[in-house]
Amino acid sequence: MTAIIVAADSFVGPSRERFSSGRAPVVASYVILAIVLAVVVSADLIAPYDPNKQDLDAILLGPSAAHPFGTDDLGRDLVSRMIYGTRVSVLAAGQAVAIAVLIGVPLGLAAGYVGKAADLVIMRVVDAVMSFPAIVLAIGITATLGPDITTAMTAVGVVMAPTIIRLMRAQTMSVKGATFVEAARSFGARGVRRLILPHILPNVIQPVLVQIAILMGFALIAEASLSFLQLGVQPPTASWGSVLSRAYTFFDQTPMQIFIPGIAIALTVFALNIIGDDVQRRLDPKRKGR
Amino acid sequence: MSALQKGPDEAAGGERRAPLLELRQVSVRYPVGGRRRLTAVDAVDLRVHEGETLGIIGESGSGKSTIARAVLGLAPVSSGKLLWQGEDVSGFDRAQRREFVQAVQMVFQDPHSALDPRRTIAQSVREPLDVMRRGVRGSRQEVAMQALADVGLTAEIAGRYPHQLSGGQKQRANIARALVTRPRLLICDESVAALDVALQAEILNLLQDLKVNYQLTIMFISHDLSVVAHLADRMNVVYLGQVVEDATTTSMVDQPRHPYSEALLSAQPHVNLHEETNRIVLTGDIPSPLDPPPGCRFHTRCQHAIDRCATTTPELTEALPDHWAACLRTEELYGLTGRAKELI
Repeated sequence: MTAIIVAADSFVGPSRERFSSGRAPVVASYVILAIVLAVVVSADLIAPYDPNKQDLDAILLGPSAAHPFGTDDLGRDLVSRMIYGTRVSVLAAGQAVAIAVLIGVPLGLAAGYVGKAADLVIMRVVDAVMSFPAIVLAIGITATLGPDITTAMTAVGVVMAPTIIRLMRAQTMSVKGATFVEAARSFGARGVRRLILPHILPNVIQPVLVQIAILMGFALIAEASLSFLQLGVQPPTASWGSVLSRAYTFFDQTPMQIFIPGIAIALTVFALNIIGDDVQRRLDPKRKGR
Repeated sequence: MSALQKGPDEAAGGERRAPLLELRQVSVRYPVGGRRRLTAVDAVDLRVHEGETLGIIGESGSGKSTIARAVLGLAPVSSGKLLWQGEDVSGFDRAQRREFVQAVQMVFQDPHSALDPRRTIAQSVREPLDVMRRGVRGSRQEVAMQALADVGLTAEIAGRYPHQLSGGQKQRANIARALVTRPRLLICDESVAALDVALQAEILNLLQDLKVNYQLTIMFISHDLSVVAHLADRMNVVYLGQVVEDATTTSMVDQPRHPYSEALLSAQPHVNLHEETNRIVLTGDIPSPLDPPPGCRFHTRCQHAIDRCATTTPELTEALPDHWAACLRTEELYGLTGRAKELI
């Protein structure tokens, strides 16, 4: 459990260059992402059973033809629970990232572009949020507001927003002084529509797109951690975290079951990090028009 | 040397018609923490007449670029007045302001960073028209393509991104962008400094041609005396935020009346040099504008400085007819002024 939280805290992702050597990991990552997204979309079609249907005559079974991943302590089919759990986990993570981006991009732009008092206020709040361990803050918020996946992931999104704010602010500050921005101002381009949207945003958003992939990985781990602690997804809903939590409880009887959500989380997070690197490479303006 | 294009008013002598652009005692100051302020441009008087090419010359940190930026509204004018055809720019209403912005365009120093890396050349070149909502959308594209053609870029290049162009092509694109609004005054801020010598010549020739075809007045800012002398009808030498000498190019080159200009001119390499010239080597760097020397700002590096130079600030005075220098010792150093000679 501590291991999960520690891993979750390092969401800025150290995997920058390490995995970007060959094409194979990149291709594999896109395949993994495609599979995950396909499962999210078609969960109802491909799940063999109702994920919440209990069969108390068949609890804690090992792998079999009828239940390839076995069944949990209430006799629910783990394949079906993983399939529906993927949907829940990915949507939850997506929600958190969307919130982080919606908060982070405008505030980061404002802090970097307007500067002065706006910058001061925004960055002090960012410092305050960032000085707090992310997961602990999310735990605190959900513990206060009551355990619920939407609350939990909103909290995670708020906690992740400072990363994007800082990134956007730093980028904006450097692009704001660029000669092409000055050139645009010299012929009267001002304001959001003529200067920020056409010139500044496209030149600062690229690292955010990379960060989105990495934050998505972090959010998946956060969802798993919070659900593992029963602060996220509530029973009987399946998610990667809740399946993991359940499997952990019965680890002594079915030790293999924790690996199913564990591997799903690990592979997806890895894939997202590698995709983040790849997106960064592709977004290089020098590749444009080639 | 380009043909000296003098306004009729100048030829007539006496009272001049209002210059196209005039800076009257313009200062640009930046706050630098605490109560300290950096004076980048200090009470500069400057006139650009319609049809002429005004060269502004000075070393790095002399404030010459800040003058251009102040004209374009990119640097804050702390005091003084900017006059466009005799009218105070600060009193302009929206429509006049727009006219002014269209009429004054700038070509920046670094051709690469002046273009948005994520826009095609055509998009960048037509952008001023989009921003100012000039004409219908379709015709803007035509105007942009025409401007590109005028600077010698093909339609094929219009669809490319800046990184796919050479330095010379990029600078041509920058010039095209500055031309689409049909400006009357083109400010070239070190516009050839980032290019190699062959390209410099190409771009300078292009500017000469465009000046005629587009009926431009050009304000050419450079640290390169040979470039300015080649292009300009009139030169202003700037030192530490102040104009120290103002004269026609011929007069300036033949008979500089300020030790700084003299040093700059002597430092210029000559290819066909038969007579020995004494090269005046300035020691040290330009002093910090945060803490400019008292009196004449040049006295710390001037080989002719006397005690008085450190206490008395020289004003621009007419040393020769239509040749102004800000040096306390002009007469002593360079003999009798032209005017005095005439009187004798």
